Amino acid sequence: MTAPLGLDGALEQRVLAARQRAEPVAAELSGADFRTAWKALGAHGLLTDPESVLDGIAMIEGLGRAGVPAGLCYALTSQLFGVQRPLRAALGEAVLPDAVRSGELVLCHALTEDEGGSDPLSMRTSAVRREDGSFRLNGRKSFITAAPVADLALVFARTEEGNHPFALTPFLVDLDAEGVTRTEAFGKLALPEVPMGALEFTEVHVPAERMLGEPGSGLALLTATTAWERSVLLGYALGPMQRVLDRTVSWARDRSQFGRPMGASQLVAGRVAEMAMALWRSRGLVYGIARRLDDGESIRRLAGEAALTKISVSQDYIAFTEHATALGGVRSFVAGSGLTAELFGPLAGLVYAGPNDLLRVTVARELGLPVQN
Amino acid sequence: MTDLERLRALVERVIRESASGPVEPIEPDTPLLISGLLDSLTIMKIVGEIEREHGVRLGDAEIVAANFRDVRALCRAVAPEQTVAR
Repeated sequence: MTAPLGLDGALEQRVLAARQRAEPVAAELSGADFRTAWKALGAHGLLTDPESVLDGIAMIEGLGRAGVPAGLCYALTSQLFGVQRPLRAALGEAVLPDAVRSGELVLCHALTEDEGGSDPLSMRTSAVRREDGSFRLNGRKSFITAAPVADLALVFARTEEGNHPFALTPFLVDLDAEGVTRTEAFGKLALPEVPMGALEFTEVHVPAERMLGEPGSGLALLTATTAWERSVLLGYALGPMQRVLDRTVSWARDRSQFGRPMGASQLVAGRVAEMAMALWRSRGLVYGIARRLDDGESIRRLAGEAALTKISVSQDYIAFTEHATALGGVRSFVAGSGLTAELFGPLAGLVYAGPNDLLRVTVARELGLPVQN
Repeated sequence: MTDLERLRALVERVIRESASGPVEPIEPDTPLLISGLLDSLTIMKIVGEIEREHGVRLGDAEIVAANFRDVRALCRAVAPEQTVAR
């Protein structure tokens, strides 16, 4: 067992406590559909947001180390920190039903459309206000994580014509409402344990009180949800990375090649050290920004750091995976070999929660360059 | 320096930083939205700078078109909270 890199003793204890709680569940989860797996995690209290962001990430790392599939770790991180936290921070505790906190109700974040997600101001989905203050929602949201299984959606819709920054308004939409259709789950290759799909809205009635904030406040909320995602979503990968590092070290120690342990080769040792560095940096960045969020720093002022964290951790996860794949040899490409590489998950990090290339623009803007998206 | 002047200078600075060409001086009544001077990143950067320099937090409901029409409108949205904060 390798020492956990970049965790102080107290934090490691919290990770281990969550791992211990999750271990009996993890065994039941392989091959289970999302709802069944989610319910099993909920029954062990493993879906509830602890008080601090730090504890939340430690809990999720514990789940990953226990062997909970990466897609479920991703889904949980996204639920807690990509949707629930930003909504509560912006609009108060009462904004979400209690059943969301226990994981009984699943949320999804419906921003992206078929024409693109990185340019939200060009979205087509619209909400038209009626005389009684309610809204009529029409449009289609696509590539939405958890859409096939969610109960409620945070939907961003256009309440004014044109691409101006205050044209968007957020709504909390009941997905059982009349006029809501879900597509079949997409044939998703990355993080397949959580399904992805599209939502179609045809003349959906949205009560006035389900508007979140004010007309036009979509920009403020989506800036917050996306910055939260960029800060800590990649925290989902810490547990799976530790597992892969542990098994790679065992493999390199135990496997004999050229009459000596594989790990006696300096090239092999170098790759293992590179993996350790990637995990070390990733932990430092994710737990570091989690601490700052716990200290009450404004998510808006952390937008630049959030982008830097997301780019750095996703790139490190890819590099880490490449080393693990090389050391696993042909077994990396054989299911059930014990060294099977998970390639799509890490690579998907280039694309979700803001493509890394566009986040580089955010970073450069923060530094004062006059660069446009 | 009055709140209005501080805010005017802040908005002008952020707009100049974000622009790729020369920018006319921003006055308290310069229309910010119609002229396309503010894109979404610039708006959120102004919000971040207000939070940093003025020590106030703007709620989502305050980050709307009515408050970003011009610097004077923005000042009305920022100032009441500022007096509370002090």
